[in-house]
Amino acid sequence: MSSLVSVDNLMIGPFTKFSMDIPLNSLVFVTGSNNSGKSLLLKVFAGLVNVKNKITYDRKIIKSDNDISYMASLTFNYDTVLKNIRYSVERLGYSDEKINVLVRDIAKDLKITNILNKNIKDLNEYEKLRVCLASKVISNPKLLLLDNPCLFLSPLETKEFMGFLEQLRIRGMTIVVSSSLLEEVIYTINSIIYVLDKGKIVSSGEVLDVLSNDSLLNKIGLELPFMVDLSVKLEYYNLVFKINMSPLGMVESLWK
Amino acid sequence: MEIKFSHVNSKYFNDLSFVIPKGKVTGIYGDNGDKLLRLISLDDDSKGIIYFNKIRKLRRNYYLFRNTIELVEKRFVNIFDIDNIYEYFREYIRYRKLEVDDIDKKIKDSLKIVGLKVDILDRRISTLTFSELKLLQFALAFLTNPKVILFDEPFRGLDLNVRKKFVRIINRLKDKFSKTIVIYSNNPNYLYQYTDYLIVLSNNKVLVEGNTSDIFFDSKYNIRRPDIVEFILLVKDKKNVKLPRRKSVMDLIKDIYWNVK
Repeated sequence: MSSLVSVDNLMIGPFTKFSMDIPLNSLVFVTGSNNSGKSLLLKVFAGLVNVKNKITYDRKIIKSDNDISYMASLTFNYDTVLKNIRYSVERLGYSDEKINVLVRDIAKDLKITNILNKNIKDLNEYEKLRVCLASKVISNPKLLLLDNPCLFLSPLETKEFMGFLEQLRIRGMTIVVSSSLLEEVIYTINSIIYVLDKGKIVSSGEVLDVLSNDSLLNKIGLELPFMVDLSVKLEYYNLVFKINMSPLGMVESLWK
Repeated sequence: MEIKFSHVNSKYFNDLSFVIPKGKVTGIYGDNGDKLLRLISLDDDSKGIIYFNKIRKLRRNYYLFRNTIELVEKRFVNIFDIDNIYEYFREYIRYRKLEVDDIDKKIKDSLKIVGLKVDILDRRISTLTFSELKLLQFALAFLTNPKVILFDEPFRGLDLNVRKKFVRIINRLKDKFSKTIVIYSNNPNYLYQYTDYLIVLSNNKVLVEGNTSDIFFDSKYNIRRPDIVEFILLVKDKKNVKLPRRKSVMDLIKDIYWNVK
């Protein structure tokens, strides 16, 4: 897989001689303890930090800054949902009919069709997040960077949101998500996960491979999702032999 | 301080009755819980009978209670547009009309409670990381020496080490300085681990209130339970094996081991 973005020999904040590649069309999670440099890394990828030519984009795919979308906090320029979503394509000079089609499609994908005419103030946290995401992805960016999007979501909402990200990836976006909770990661498939600690990558790879190293993750202050934690600890007692994500399946295999 | 609401109506709630006991960490769970925090902090208009420490809240004695309650928002909002942290603290003290003899000592004490270093005062707010910002928010809340502290989603975004530190702080405030602590979260795992008393909201009404673990282990209520409780209940349901109530996976594993072996 060719890489879309890569940083090389990064020296800023907690990072010393830090290198990392983001493969094309992948869903990458950057996770780690507090003050490990997750948010800063995303800002570097977004080009918001001056790092003196230490970052390289694939210029065949990312032609201009419009192909990178970065979302850190939920900020809105207008009062109504529809205006906020339209704004980001209106400034690109698209025709009105084209904008209407784009808005309709993205609203359907993110399940916000019924709140398009509402005021931002009347929305709850999850609705606001989806509106903000819609305004970021409607212009079809190639690289989407989300800084801790699921921070205030409940577990069920997080699960649905990860489904949306998977859909966006299938549409051809490369997505990098920073996250402070490992639980968010298990709702996705085929994602790559990087664990940072004090500006260093301490573990990386497929989700379940990374999660099974519980002593390392606990040491840097990350909590394993309950079912993974239970499986990994039961493995020490030779009661189960692989990570089982289904509680029912686990009960059946334990009490035969 | 004990807080008692009886038959209170507001924009979001109707006929709300509950008690927040003293000497316990109270959790709020369910939809619109953040709006309930705002109601308790007397930010929202309400009609009904509210008691703080058995003194009834009236329009004329509103100020008696308002300044003893502090709400810690889930996101930090820079209300003064001041970036320097020391200046921000000073402006905050002026804004809240606090009578302080030695401002610098007051600020340092407040930072000490949450475990922030004094040299943070020279930094700028825009350069703080998420967890530092969260601790700064807590430090600002403790500055006014409130009797009641309401936290909106305090655990979110904090890793295990910082979260443990925070839980130690609130438990000390509760035990040593008899503060009333109220925490809203929509993640049942946190509430189960860190709160003693729970108020569950459903359809803008109080569904149930009582001991946290009693409520989560009662299969009568149709709420999302903590993962560990869900698992213990599932074992009881499917295999008729009664495992003891546990809060940590480590303890649960030992129970399972002795049971299965």
